Amino acid sequence: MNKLFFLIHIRRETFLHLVLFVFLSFLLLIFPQKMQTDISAFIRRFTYGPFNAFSNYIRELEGVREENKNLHRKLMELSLRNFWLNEERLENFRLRELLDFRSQLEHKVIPAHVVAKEPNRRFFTVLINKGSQEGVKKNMPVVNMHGLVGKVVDVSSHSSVVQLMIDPSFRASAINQRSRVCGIIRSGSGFALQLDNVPLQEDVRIGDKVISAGLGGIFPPGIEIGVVTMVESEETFSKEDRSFGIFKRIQVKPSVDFSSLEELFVLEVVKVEEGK
Amino acid sequence: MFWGSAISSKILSGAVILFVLIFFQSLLSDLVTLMGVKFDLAIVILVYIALTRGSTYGVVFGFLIGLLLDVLSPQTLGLGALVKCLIGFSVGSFKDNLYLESFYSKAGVIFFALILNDFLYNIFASGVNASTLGILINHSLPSAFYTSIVGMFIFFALSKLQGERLEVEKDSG
Repeated sequence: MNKLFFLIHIRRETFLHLVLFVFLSFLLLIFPQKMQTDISAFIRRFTYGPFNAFSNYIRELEGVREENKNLHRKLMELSLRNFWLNEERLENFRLRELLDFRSQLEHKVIPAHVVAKEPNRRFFTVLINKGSQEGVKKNMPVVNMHGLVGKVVDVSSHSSVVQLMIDPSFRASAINQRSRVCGIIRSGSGFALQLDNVPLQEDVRIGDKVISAGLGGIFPPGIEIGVVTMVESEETFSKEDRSFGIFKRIQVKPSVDFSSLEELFVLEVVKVEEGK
Repeated sequence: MFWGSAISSKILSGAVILFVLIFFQSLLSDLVTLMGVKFDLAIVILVYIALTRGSTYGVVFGFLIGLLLDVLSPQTLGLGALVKCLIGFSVGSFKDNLYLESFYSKAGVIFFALILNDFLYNIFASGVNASTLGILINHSLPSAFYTSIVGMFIFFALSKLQGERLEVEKDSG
């Protein structure tokens, strides 16, 4: 009986702790998003902050010499390319004037480092070390040197959360670079993407490059998204899949390797007014 | 009471454990990722604490460990803490009811704790859908295998350390 009482006593104490901490967890969950972001940023500053600063410092030192060599080579290549592009830009201005287009988009780039990845094996978001103080705002597109990565969904003063393209709730308008067929890009299985809303009669082939279409107002046009790796048209659908209807099923391999994201660029789209 | 006994050395050892976790998450987490399969030190620590100290410690450390990981993805602040609280409680309760002497059985507990953790987290975060199942099969299962194997060696090393410490205390006593 004593043993039984002892067991009940222990369980009651544990139960009280469980209730208390479950209540605290729920409390955190129901806080407004802004408050959650601020609390997280505050805790991060005192826990992960010093380690992140240290790892950033080491990472920067590591690659500096090699990077310098590469940058010199790239600078030479880009100087040459810049010459030709300037020529084309001037031509573009002249043609725009002829067509009476008054504005175009330019991009300001905010470089950032990934300081943390979502720790629950979901790989849907990453945390970067730039926030509102550095000019980052919600819904800004995020890219790396290979292509589109995602968009900013949450901003605190010195860090931001980036939603990756492989998040199931991510959507962006996309276009086939060769045939100019439009669709909506969303996450597929694993790290693959899927191009939806492409009618069966449209021309899409394996190996075609998919880029952002710029229709949603968040992502600028022309950013590389990936390459078509599978196209299923009506003939290849099984009987059960016929219910899919009038669209092609297109799988896209992303240009970006989401498992090894390190350096990212947040794009600020600036509208430049051109004098007529 | 728990709080009374936790003061001084226990709080210090708790702080050291959390420090190790932060250090690992910040600097080592990517280095020990094998072909995209992550090692989950948080679950190993939580299972170890719950198995050696019981469900009350499991609940408290589950909350703290979960919160430390939650701040890395602030959109779900509190969810990791909630799930790890429940995991700590469940594993701690197992300790009282199961005979877990061998390291293989402890590795099994780590395996199931990680699967349960991911299952609950994904169910609470996005409900039951194809992506939840996909995450469990493609990411959680490989990670559970990897973590339980490495965790078994960590448990072994910790038990050796604990054994040596007890012998030193006995000699000096």
